[in-house]
Amino acid sequence: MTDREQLVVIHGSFNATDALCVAASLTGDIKAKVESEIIYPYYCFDARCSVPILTGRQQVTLVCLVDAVNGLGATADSFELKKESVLVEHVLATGVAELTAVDIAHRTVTHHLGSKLRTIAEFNVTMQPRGFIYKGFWVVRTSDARLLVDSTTAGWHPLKLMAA
Amino acid sequence: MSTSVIFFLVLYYVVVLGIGYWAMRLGAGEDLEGYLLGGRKVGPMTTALTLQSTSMSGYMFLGAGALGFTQGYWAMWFAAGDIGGGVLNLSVIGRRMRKLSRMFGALTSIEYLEKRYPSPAIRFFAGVLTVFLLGFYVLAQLIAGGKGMALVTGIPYPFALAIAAGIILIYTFMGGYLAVAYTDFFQSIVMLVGVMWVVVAALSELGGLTAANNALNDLDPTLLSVWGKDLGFQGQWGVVAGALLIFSAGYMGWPHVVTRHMAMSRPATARKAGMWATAWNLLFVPAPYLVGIMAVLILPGLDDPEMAIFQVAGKLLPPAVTGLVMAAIMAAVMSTADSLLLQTGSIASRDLYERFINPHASERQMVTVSRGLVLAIAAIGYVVALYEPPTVFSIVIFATSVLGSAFLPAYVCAVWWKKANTPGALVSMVSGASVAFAWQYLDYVETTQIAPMLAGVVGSTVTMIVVSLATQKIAPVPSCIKEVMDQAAVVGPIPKRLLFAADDGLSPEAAAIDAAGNRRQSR
Repeated sequence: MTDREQLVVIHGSFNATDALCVAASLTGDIKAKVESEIIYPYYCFDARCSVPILTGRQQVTLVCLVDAVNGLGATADSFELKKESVLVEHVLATGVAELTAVDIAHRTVTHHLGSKLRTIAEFNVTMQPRGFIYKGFWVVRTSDARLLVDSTTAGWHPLKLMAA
Repeated sequence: MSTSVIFFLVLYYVVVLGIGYWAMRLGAGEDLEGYLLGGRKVGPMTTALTLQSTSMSGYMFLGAGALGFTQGYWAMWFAAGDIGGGVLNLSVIGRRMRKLSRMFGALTSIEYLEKRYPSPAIRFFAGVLTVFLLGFYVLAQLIAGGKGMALVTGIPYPFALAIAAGIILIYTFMGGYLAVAYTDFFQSIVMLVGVMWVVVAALSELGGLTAANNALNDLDPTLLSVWGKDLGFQGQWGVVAGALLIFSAGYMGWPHVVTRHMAMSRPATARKAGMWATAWNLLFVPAPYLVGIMAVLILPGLDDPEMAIFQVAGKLLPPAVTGLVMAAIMAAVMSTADSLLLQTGSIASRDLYERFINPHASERQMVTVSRGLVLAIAAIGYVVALYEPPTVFSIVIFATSVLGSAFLPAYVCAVWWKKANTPGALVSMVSGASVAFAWQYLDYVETTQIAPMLAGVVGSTVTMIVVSLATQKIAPVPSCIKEVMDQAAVVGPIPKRLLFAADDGLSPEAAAIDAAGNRRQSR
C-alpha cells in the first residue's frame, strides 16, 4: 500500500539516522535498523485560562494534547508544525471521539493548573480545538531489542520484542 | 517573647512573599506558560528540597521534640525510619507507579487505585478514608501553628490559633505565587538552618554531645537506652518495628505522598533529587529528636514537652535567630498544611463529588466543593484544637498509622503483583484501616506490645494475599491491566542503568504501538 496523505505534523529535529545513533549508543549494536516509521495522532487544543497572579489575574494559553489512540491528556511545550505527506499505512488509527477528547483536555488542564500553582481556584478554562496533529516516531530494531524513538526529542522507550 | 523575635518572623514572611513575587515576575508574561508547562528551570536540588519542605510538617518541631524529651534516645527509631523513607518509597513504587498512572490516565492517587482495581467501591472507600485522615493531619498542623504563634506573640492561644488557621487558609487559597518551588526551596533551607542552629546551641550549652550524654546518664540512664524511659519498651520489638515502619514503609501507603510519583519528572532527575533529599534528611531528621533529648537537661521543669524546641530556642538563642527558628516552624506547618488541604480538596471534588454525585460538575462547582471542604476542615479543626486539643504527636501517629496500614499493600501490589485483584484490595484496605484504628482506640499496644502500624500492615497484607488468591476465578485481574503492568515492567534487554534514561512519558505511545504491532501480526 503506498497511499499518501497530507497531515499536520510536529516538526521533528531527529531523523532516522539520529534514531539509529540513539539505539546504537544504548545497546552498542552498530547494525541497528529502522524497522518502521509511525505517525502518531493527537487531538490538539489551545486551552485559554485565567491564572491568579499577585496583582490579579493573567490570561494564558496552554497547549493540551490528547492521545487519540489511548485517550490520555497532557499539557505540551511549544512546538512547530509543518504539513507533510506521509504514507497512510504509517498512521496509527484513532480510537477516541472528539467530544471525549475535549472532556479529557479540560480535566487535564484544570488538574494541571491546580497542582502546578498549588491553589484551589477557578481558571475559567475554554478549549479551542485545533484538530488532529501528528508526531513521528521511529521503531528501531537492534540484535536483541526494539526501541521507540521520538522524532522531536530523541527520547526513547523500549518496545516488546514479541511484537516484531 | 521579645518584639525582636516578632520582627524577624515578620521579616521572614516579607522575604517569602518577595521570593514568590520575584519568581512569578520571572515567569510572568510570555514565560508564564513555560513555567506552567514544564518548570524546566527547576533542577534536582530544588525539586528535592521542595518535596522535603512539604513532607516535614509541624510534627518535626513539636511531636519529634516531645518524643525525645519524654523517651530519650528511643525516639531515634522514628528518625531512623524517616531518613530512608523517601528513598525506599521512590525505589519500590516510584518509577512503576509513574508509568502505570500515565498509562491509566489517572490524575489523582485515588483514581489510580480505581483504575488498577476496577470498582467504584475502591474509589469511594479510599476517598472517604483519605479525606477523613488528612483532615486529622491538618488538625495537627493547626495546633502546631497555634501553639507556635501563641508563644511568639504572647497573645492568647484561641486568637493565635485563629491567626494560624487564617494564614494557612490564605496560603492555600492564594497558592500560585506564594507556593512556587523557589519559596518551598527557601523554606526548606530556613527549616534546616533553624533546627541546626538550635542543635548547635544546645550542644554548646551542654559542653558537647559526650558531656550531654554523661549528664543524661547521671539524671536518668534509661534515657540513653534505645528502649525508652524506664526501659518502658524493653524487648518490645513489635513496638520498635512499628516506630521504624511508620515513616519508612508507611510512606508508600500515604495517598498524598505517593501522588508525587505521578507528577515526577524523568527518572534520572528523580534519582538525583532522591540523593539530595537523603542528604537533607540525614541532617534534618535526627535534629528535632536530639534537641528534645537535650531539653531534658536544659529545661528540666518544662510543662509541655511539645514546646521543647520553641523553649530551647527562646532560652539559648538571640532574638533574631529565635525568630528564624519560629519562621522555620511556621514554614514546616504552612508548606505541609497547604499541601494536605489541596490534596484533600482535590480528592473530595474529583474522587468523590465528580465521581459519585455530579459526573458533569462544572469547574466552578468543583472549586466550590474543594473550598467548602477546606473551610469545613479548618472550622472543625479550630473547634477541636480549641476545646480538646490532642497532642500533635498522637494525631500524626494516628493518621499515618491508619493511612499506611490501609493503603501500603494496595499501592505496592498495584505495581508488583499481577494477581492483586479488586476484592483483595478492598478487603485489605478495610481490614488494614480497621485493625490500626481498633489497635489504637482499644489500646492493644499495652497488652500485645505490637504497634498499631505493624498490626495494621500485617492485617492488610495477609488479607490482600489471601483474598486475592481465593477470588482469582470469580474476580480475575482484567487482561488489559495485566498488559499495562507488563508494559510498566522492564521490557527488552536494555541494561538497567540505561532504563533510567528511558522517557516514561512515551509509555502510552509504546503500549499503543505494541498493540498495533500485535494486531498486524495476528492478521
